[in-house]
Amino acid sequence: MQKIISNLWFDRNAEEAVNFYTTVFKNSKIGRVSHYGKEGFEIHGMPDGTVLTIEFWLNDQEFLALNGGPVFKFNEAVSFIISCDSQEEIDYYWERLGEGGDEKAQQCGWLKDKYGLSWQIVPKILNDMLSDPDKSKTERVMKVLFPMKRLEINTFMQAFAQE
Amino acid sequence: MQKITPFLWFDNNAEEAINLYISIFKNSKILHASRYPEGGPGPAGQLMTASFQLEGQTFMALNGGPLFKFTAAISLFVDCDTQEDVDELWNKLIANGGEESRCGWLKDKFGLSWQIIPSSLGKLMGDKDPKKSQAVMNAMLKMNKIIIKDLQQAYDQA
Repeated sequence: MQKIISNLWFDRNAEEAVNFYTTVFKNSKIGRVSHYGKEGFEIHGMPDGTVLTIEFWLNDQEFLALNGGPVFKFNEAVSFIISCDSQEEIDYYWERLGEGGDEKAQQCGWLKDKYGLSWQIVPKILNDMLSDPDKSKTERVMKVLFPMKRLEINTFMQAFAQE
Repeated sequence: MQKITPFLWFDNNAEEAINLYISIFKNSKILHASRYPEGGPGPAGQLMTASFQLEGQTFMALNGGPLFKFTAAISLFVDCDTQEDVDELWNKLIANGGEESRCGWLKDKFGLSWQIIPSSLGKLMGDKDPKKSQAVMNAMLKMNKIIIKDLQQAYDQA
């Protein structure tokens, strides 16, 4: 078991969301599932048998999902970066996770999925480019980055190489 | 390299938060930090982004301004072996302005939510006997900080 695990709070659709995420990522699986019982109904208000928590793994990293009611909503204060090796990989995650999400939230490689969770779909090479000691290169890369929604590796390469 | 990295958006105190977290968790360090340049969107020299490790896991943080605040919709669940671990993390994370919440949850002084949970909770609540698992659940629902011996007592008496 991982020592620190990100826990996602859903209203009542944790099961659906976990099923979705585990089909998007490789090396994914669902672990233990716990359920609400009759005890504590006056506190949690969930019908007996409702899913309480789900352990799951995405790309061999452990996560938890919880059905907690409509009290808390996701926002951009916590997002998840997906580090991508290729444009194909960026396109894959952008399309799968972006489907049904709020398109207005798509900016600079960020998107919201249909559950409102924020993801950043980022090519690994972008970090290398932005850490380059040549300031004129990093500035050109930043300049093409800001207007983008889905990140485009080729555009970064061109901006980086341009003299 | 981790495929999926949690990214925490702070107003302007990411550096203080990272330093607190790496002082609390083992196997922790700052991997890389970048700072706002002169004429940038943040005060020159202020931390812009940093990647860091807690318990060998990679996280990132940003000083992004006051646009977004943490909510309990995403919390960090910490798996603890002993009551001493629970007590230590609980006390250090609520110190200097954090607050206790229910069922092992707390908010640290930066508003980030944590769950400090002993691994015995999952084991006891996963018992095949529904009377026992329900008794443990009922005991847990009344707690703020999780007390392992009280969970065990509820289990034994059910």
